[in-house]
Amino acid sequence: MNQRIFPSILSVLVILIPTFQGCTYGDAGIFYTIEKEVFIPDASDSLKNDISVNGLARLGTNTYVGTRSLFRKADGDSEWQILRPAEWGSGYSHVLSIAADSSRLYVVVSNGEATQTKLMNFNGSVWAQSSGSVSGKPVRLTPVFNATGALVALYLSVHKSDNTYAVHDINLTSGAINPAISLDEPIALPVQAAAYDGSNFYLTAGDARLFKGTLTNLTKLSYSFGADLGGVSTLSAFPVSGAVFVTLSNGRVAWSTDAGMSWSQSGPHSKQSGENPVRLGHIFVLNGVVVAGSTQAGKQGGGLYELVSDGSGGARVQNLTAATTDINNYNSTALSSATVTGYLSVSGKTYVGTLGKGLFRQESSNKSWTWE
Amino acid sequence: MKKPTLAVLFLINFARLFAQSEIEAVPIFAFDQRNLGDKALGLSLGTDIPLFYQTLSGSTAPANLSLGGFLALDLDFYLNNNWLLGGRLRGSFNATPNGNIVFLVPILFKGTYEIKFWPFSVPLWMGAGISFISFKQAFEVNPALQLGSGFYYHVSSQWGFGLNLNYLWIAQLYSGNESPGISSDQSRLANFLDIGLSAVFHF
Repeated sequence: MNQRIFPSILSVLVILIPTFQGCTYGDAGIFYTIEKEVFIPDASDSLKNDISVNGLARLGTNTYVGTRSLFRKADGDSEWQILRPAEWGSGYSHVLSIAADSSRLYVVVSNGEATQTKLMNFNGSVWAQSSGSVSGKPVRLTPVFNATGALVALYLSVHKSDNTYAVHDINLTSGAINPAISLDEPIALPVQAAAYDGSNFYLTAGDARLFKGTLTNLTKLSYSFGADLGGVSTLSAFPVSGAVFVTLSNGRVAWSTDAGMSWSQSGPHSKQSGENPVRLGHIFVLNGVVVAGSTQAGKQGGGLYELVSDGSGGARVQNLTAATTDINNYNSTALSSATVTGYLSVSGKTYVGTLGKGLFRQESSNKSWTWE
Repeated sequence: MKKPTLAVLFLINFARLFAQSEIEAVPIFAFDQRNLGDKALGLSLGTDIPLFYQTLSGSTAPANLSLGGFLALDLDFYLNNNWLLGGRLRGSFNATPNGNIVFLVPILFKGTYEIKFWPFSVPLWMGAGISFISFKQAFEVNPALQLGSGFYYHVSSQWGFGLNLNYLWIAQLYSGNESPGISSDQSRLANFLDIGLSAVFHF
């Protein structure tokens, strides 16, 4: 009997021991993570926790979130209200993108198959289709902020029949679509992000090129970042006030203080040892710290990352710390491993939208996140 | 072969089947005497109670998990009437405060001493092995120990039914080199208690 059992045990051990090599570690120990997990309040029943957010906007005392639908929540309310204005027209039920200036909400709507799209605007009481001639389908709105976070322009990407994109700016006085702006090279993706430093406009379109120029005439910068670009923003925060920041697909943040003539880069950040660096996208300021959102999800590195001093004059990207968030609360959210699709700062609150993981809200008073 | 011959053979076998059934219908004396080579297959189902975590410095913290469920399969080989050697495959799940599920699947080699007072038996056992742990995107393999006991009522020589109570201990030890966010002070010794119903089949 023993002659049969012990060789069997040995065989099983030989089979099982290699499984130790197949471990996939998380950001922290499993039981440690569970021990520290705190309950994340779910503030709203009407906004599902598995939605993908494609835009956030603020008009008056209302906050808007675009998913496939348009939701609105007034200050003081706890629930989000879904909007289906009849003025959008028959069949136009899907929201592709939203943005707002101080007087209007803009929404790109489409039919179910997205074969037809149009830009609608809402002045707080009346919906209207934005006038103006476009040769293609409007698909994405990109707000342009200055260093203090004020909206100075709004770009509209239009998908053309040759699979490139025209970029129009919106007349913020009338809500109309102005003629296409001039880019010295065609772009094969919608505008990803745009910024204004007080003198120049900057624009990225998800590839390796950064465009710079006036509102309506931008040219490609010759500088090579060595990676695709994510977000671009002018932020009055560390490491250098008033710089132009660009996030990169190699886990780095680049910044320029001379209008894009020369650039500095942070060190890269990898969520997992040996894994590819986190691909960074949206960049904004959270509780006074420059923060970038990931364009990936899961173990490859979702969530938010800080840009901090590396102690030797440079900067590095790292996981969020207590400076920007309640760590146990943040690590307990689905946001910490999600693709970040948008953000909105509203008087003491920051909303962060995700791909398929819903919308999160942080109160700056306690730096903890709530699932909307 | 001709059809009549086949029919006769069929009838003979059919008759044998009935004859065998009559013999089996005669009450036989149930016994609980086991010998080297006898085997026992057990199935347990019940509640998994997360108890607490302990750090390597000795401090403890609540397990922060909900009650869960477990299912275990045991296969043991009798060395003699009281001692068994075998293995256990156990699976369990528990939920965190936000509904994230942690799955534990220990595979243990176990030794059992069985106290017998027919028609009851009380097995006392200890197992050691590894535990597969899956949580969100993480998957780890950790050393595990389990102590267990049971109380069975044997309705026949083959079948027994009863309760079991088991203590599971998993050592999740880190050196700090596993990933950038993991440090050695995140090592935890996790403690769970299983309470369940069992059925055991001897063959």
